[in-house]
Amino acid sequence: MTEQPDPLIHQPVRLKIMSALKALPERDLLEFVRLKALSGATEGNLGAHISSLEQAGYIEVQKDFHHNRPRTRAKLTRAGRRAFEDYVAFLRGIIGET
Amino acid sequence: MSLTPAEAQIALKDIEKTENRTAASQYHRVSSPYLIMWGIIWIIGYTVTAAIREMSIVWMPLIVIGVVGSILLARRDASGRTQEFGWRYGASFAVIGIFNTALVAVMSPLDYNQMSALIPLAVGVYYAFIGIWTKAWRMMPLGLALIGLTALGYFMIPGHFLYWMAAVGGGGLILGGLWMRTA
Repeated sequence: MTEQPDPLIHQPVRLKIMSALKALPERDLLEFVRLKALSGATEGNLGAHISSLEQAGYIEVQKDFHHNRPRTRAKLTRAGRRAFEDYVAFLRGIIGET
Repeated sequence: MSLTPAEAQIALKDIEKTENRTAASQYHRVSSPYLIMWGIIWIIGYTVTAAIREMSIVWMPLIVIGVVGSILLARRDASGRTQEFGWRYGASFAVIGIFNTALVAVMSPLDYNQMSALIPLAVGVYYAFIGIWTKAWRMMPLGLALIGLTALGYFMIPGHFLYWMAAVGGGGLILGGLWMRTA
């Protein structure tokens, strides 16, 4: 277990992004518009947080065209999944759960 | 950076809430195209049955189309959630099919209205159970509505029951599918 919470995940919007992506089966991707709805973030805010998580290697962003419309989707990387699990373990450690 | 147990508890609750919302949204969206497709099949099936008064000729090909369509839908969007959900969906429908076949055999002879009410009632129960047992909670009101509307039409307008089922049963499934899409 880590000594400190991961500062990259320990931020309300990024935590929601990571939680939403963690809820997906491993190879599934979540569309940006749905991530926006689930996180409650504005488009610009969400974009900035996604960039931070992508730069850290926690999420992978894929852009393509679907029914002739641009589509942006994201999924957790293996490193992101591990970091999120460590973060949850850290929180559980604080409240005395193992 | 230090966290109090209360702050950690709040963060854990937020995580759980977001994970549940995401999973529910996915389950609902996966079910949407199936509901819409079966809604169209019900509209065609009940309308044609009402017009020509012959059930097996109408429903056998429609059921085959529905089963093949369901398999194609599952293959088209081969996400992890679809695969996880799809086989259960198919297996559950198979159980309902067996249950209905056995029920019809035990209860026969049944008239058109009785036969036409059995499947929607069983499907309504199935949807309600999905809503109760999985995160796809919207399936519960959809299932209960299907049961209630089937019973209402059966008792209140027996003379036009098949048309009622086409409109309310088939239309209800389509509306339900569109509702799932908004999740």
